[in-house]
Amino acid sequence: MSPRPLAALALLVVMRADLRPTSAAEREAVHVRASAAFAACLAPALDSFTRATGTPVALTIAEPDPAQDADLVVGDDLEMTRLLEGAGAEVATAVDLGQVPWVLVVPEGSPAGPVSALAATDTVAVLGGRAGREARAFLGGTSPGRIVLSQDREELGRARQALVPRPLAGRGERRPSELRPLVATAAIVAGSPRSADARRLLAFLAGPDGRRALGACFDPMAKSSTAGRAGYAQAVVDWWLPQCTLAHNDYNDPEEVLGPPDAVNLGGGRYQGFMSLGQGGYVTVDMGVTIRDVSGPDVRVYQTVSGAGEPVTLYASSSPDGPFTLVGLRVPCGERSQGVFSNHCDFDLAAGGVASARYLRVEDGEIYPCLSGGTVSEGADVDAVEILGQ
Amino acid sequence: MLPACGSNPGVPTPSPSPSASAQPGGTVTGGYTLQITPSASCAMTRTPQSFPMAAAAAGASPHPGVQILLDPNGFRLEMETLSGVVSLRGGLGTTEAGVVSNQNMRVWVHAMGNGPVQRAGDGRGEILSGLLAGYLALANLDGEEGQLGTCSAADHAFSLRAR
Repeated sequence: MSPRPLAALALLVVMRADLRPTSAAEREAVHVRASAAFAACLAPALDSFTRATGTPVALTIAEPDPAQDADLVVGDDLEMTRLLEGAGAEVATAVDLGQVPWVLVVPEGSPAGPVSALAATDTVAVLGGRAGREARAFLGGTSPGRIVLSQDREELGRARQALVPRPLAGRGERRPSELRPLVATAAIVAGSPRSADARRLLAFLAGPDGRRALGACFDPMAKSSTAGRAGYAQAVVDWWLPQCTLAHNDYNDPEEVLGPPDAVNLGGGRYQGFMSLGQGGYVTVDMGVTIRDVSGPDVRVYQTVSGAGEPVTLYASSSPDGPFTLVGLRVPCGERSQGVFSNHCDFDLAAGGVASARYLRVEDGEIYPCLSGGTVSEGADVDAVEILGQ
Repeated sequence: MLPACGSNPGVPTPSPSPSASAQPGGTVTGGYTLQITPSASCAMTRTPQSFPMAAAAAGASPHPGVQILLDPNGFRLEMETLSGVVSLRGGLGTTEAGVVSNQNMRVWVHAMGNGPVQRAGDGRGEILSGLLAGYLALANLDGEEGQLGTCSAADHAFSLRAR
């Protein structure tokens, strides 16, 4: 989709200039680039910022990566990961503004049933672009002819049936979806020419006035469970990284996945405390004790960095030599962790039919071409592996 | 239950079985045709998508590897594999732009491939029947990712035949 300036905001800039000829005329607009899922939510908050400060804001609705002329970008993990890890945006400034759930929009009174059943009678509009990737995979069993991809708010809003982030939902009955909510992460673009104003805007959005303006549209971030922790990975029994990864990545030490999560941002694009798995690399760890399948998740993988949710795949075994059984395939690993720099994702041994295990293999699920990577932390970045709920 | 993926720390035992007549082993190097067939569980065309590839040994530590690249323009489609005695296992990935197949479709893939290596007619190794676990999306040449279907599955099929 080509970038589309939000007409209402452009008008707002002119209006502000009329009201405050001195301040607004002298100040260059802060350029914000936000994905379609979040743009409508941001508009009232940006308006509030302009009213409060006299600084105009120009909002472009487009995927945040590439940032192009933006000073501040807002996007979901799926859109922000490579921008943040490639230093196109400043990780240290990344702030989660809130999250938006996916909803299934259907005509009032439609019979209950899965999306596939609804698609049998009519098309289903789905958000296109990177932010919609998990939704499209969720609809993998639906004929492509029944799916209409779009990033246009009006088109999605007009659809009789749609699977969209809540801010893009049109008329009709809204049913909850089990899809992972999209997280609106904002960050300053590296080298922004209007950095000072952009930082003021970001501080406003993250502050009480901004939160109030956004709160009608964004849900607060979910709080992660912290109960029942029973230990961390004790020893590395095997690992592998492709030669290309070993040559390009800086974070190749498998010992970094042992112990509790300790990844930190040292500033200047440098980190410590994790192992980057590159293109399809893995690390196999001895948890030191037998993990039993209990009610709920059994294993938590901590994955760095903030605003990045690279997927990981987990296998389990009772022996260091295997066989290893698949527990979770390419699970997005971006759930926010309270009090810890890294994000995380949880796994239930039951998903793989595993009753107990002591050895866990964590494998990169991003699987992005090494030669095209362009960062020194390609692949999932594993900080720690934890036993839960024992 | 999901499929088992391994039996030793270096290279998990692949699930697909080689044909009775094929001899295991052989070095994967030189020109190949990679063919991907979407899982039967996917609501997308199951027409195999193929690509010209070039393979070369890549590293020996901590385990030997093989790099398999689209030929030419290897940066568009890359497979980095761990090389076992009689199997290959590794990640196959594209960039956001996807890659155009010999069938003139645009393909996006982020998946782990796993298959037994068998001796081709010229003595090199090849994979006739492998499994690909992960994400696959299709579109027309200028279409958006997923325009013709998106599917995550643990049982896409792939082959890597010597050419």
